[in-house]
Amino acid sequence: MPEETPDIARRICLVFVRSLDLNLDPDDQSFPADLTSVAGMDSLAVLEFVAGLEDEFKLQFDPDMFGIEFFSDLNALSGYIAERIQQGR
Amino acid sequence: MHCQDILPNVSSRAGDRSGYMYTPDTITGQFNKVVADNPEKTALIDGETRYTYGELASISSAYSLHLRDRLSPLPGQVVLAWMDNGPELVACFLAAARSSTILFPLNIHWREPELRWFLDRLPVAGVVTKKSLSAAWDQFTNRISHDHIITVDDPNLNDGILQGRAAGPGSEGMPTPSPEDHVVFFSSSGSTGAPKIVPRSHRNIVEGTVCKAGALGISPGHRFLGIVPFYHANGFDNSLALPLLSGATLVLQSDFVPSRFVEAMTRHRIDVFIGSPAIFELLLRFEVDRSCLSTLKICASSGGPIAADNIAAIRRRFGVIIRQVYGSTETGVIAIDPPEGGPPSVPVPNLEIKILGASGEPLPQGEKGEIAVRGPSVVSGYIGGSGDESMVFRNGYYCTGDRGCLDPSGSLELLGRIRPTINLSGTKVDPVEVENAIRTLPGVSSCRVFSVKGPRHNEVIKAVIAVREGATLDRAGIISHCRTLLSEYKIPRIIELVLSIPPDLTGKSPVSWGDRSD
Repeated sequence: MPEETPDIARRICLVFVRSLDLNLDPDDQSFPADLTSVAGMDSLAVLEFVAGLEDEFKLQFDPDMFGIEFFSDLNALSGYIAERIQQGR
Repeated sequence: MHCQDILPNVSSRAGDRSGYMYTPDTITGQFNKVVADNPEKTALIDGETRYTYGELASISSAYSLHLRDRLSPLPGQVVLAWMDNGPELVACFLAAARSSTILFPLNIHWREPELRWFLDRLPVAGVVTKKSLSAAWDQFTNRISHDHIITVDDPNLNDGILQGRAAGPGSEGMPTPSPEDHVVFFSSSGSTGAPKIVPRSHRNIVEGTVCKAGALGISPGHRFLGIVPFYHANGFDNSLALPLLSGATLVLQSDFVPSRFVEAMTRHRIDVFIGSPAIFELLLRFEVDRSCLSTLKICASSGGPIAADNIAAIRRRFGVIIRQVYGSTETGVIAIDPPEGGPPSVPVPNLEIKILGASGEPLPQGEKGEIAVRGPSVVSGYIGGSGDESMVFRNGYYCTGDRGCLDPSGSLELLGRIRPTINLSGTKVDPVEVENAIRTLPGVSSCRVFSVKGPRHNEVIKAVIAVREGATLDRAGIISHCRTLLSEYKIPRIIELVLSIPPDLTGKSPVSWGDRSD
């Protein structure tokens, strides 16, 4: 059964909090879709986040995607990862 | 040509002072020596484009004429460089050196209030930037007119400069710089709430570079990867000045992206890489090819203390020994780990090191205290009273704020920091600057900002914020407010809201050089 996008979003939040060492609860139902609203996101933070995502989901991101806009949008990121996981099956 | 042709009698090992020859010179003098001996050798590789030393000399000459014609900088005026690593920034630096102009490479992630602080304090002749970044200066047109903002990747300009490589020496009418003239300014974060402007002279840079080249054994045959931003002293010193004033080849990359890093390392058979703690940390976190560092002969980290665990992990995974390069924006390199790795580190020749007690008195060998240094690579003060000069420049020595001791062999053991600063894997942040920004938010009664140790030996900015009675603050509001005043990397990652600041909150940073000896 394909993994539901909400589960993926929760895992992304967990990676986000862990990778950036944030004192946030990743299970908080009100975790914002705009990740930049709860953390500074410079290029180093994006790399730390991407490293965590690649490890968590066992996939690689195209270097051309390494922009803050894409990796700070929880909904877009969840959808993209769900699609990649589906394609991988 | 061999290293000894450029760097006569310089030992290949840090700490061996025998035979070291002091050769005062300007950057242009040193660069011209390299060009004369290596005119056809590749100096820069930027993507698919290569520039020989002869071409780089012509391009920088053309740039210097263009800067003179467009900006007419007066003595003491500064040209701001607002761009990432690329041949344009290299050429601007060499052009400034050639024309007695001061170049100030700015962190391209700074925000308007951060830039305004410098504009309020410096006589600015103009800005050199790129098309993709130039919009940042639209808000300053009342200070710097459009005519004085040069877009270096403008095709019209490039037709005349980057593509027109036969410009020749072109130094007619240019004032001849002296070794004591300032040539580059850097910003350095302290602990007072205001940045410090650090002026480097030709002599500071040439001496620091010659010492480091000797200590690391750099020769014209080496190939560097320049990925640490040149607006950081680490990137400028180790990835721009060191290769190009030594006749080596510099491969340019503007961002660290793991796959591109691996591709550049293998394609160009990079054999010298001087990175930062952040880059080595990321190399461990991404699943990059274990053989990607196999061509390295010299691997070092600078900009801040790298955790002993990460040095060990890099060695296990990639078979490479990382040597810690210890120094500061004010001093250039002070000490380098020996080839077999450290600690302790070995002081470079030509620097005098003292260990000072709490009252500034020199301590006997073996005792622990503040590391103070003097020598030709050390700056003599800050610009415009930025920073507390009397605290750090004493009796001809620069007091580093780092704690250490000298062992009987003269090696330097680094033990931690004395003054509270935050070092984010090579990028320094002034906690008082962040506190001042947060305090301007309505509802905040007081605030303390400091670093705590993260799970990967990294420093993480923490803010403890006391909220006024009746006020409502939340994380999103605080971050949104910080974003108007501070760069993204300065925004705290751990935010605690409290009713009052605990009296025992010292803010002392837990990460220290001493961690290396774990």
